[in-house]
Amino acid sequence: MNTNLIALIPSIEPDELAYLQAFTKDLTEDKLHLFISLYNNKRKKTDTILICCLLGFVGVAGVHRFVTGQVGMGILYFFTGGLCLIGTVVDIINHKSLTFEFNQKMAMEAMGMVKGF
Amino acid sequence: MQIVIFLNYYPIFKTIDQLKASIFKPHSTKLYFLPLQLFIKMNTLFTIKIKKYWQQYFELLFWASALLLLFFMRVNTEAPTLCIFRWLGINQCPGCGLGHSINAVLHLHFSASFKYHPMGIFAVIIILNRIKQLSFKPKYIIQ
Repeated sequence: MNTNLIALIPSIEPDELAYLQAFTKDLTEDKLHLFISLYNNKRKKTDTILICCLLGFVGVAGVHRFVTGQVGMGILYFFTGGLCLIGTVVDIINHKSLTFEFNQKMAMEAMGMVKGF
Repeated sequence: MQIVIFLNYYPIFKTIDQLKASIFKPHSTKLYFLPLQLFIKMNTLFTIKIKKYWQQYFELLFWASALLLLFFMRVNTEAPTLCIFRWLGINQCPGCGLGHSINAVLHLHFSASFKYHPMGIFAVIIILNRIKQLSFKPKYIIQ
């Protein structure tokens, strides 16, 4: 039952699905609904992060770092042209795990909010 | 034939336990396929593990190796540049001199590093912070 509900999250990755299944094992169905509606607003899709990465080739580097909440890294990328383009290329290779790391944090936050109710 | 079997088998096994179970119970009775099947299954097992570790530790490896290589970089010699823009013939870039700057910070020459690029000190602090973040993050478990 739970797995069907989690699969409603748009464009979910297999790793994320497995992580959420283990993470929301103990929730009842009402709380799971609440968790998913909160988490859906907080999470980022991998496509948006990839597009933000690609902005680095146009001249505005480091947008993906701002979006995923790493402000210091974002400033560094912005003022050095994405570490002379090397950092941008590395983050394009690595964009899936960057997104997954951010989404894990957001799942923690959403879980905290659900437990507070 | 190899490709067809690979395509057939690759998406079926989502977890490592399923793979392990299927290795000891081959559901095809054709014996002449058995070594090939075993090879392919071991291969997929291997690639899944490698992929997991790659996803977890790629960024950490990148930052740590970058700092190490910049520490041991020889500055005063006349060597060809590693900059992509220089190869293309563009001589102006907002990040010019950052490598030399970080090298100077790692050897504790702060004023020299500020002369090369003003953000060198900031860059080292931020990268070290990121390394700390990546090495102490909670490890997720697939399944």
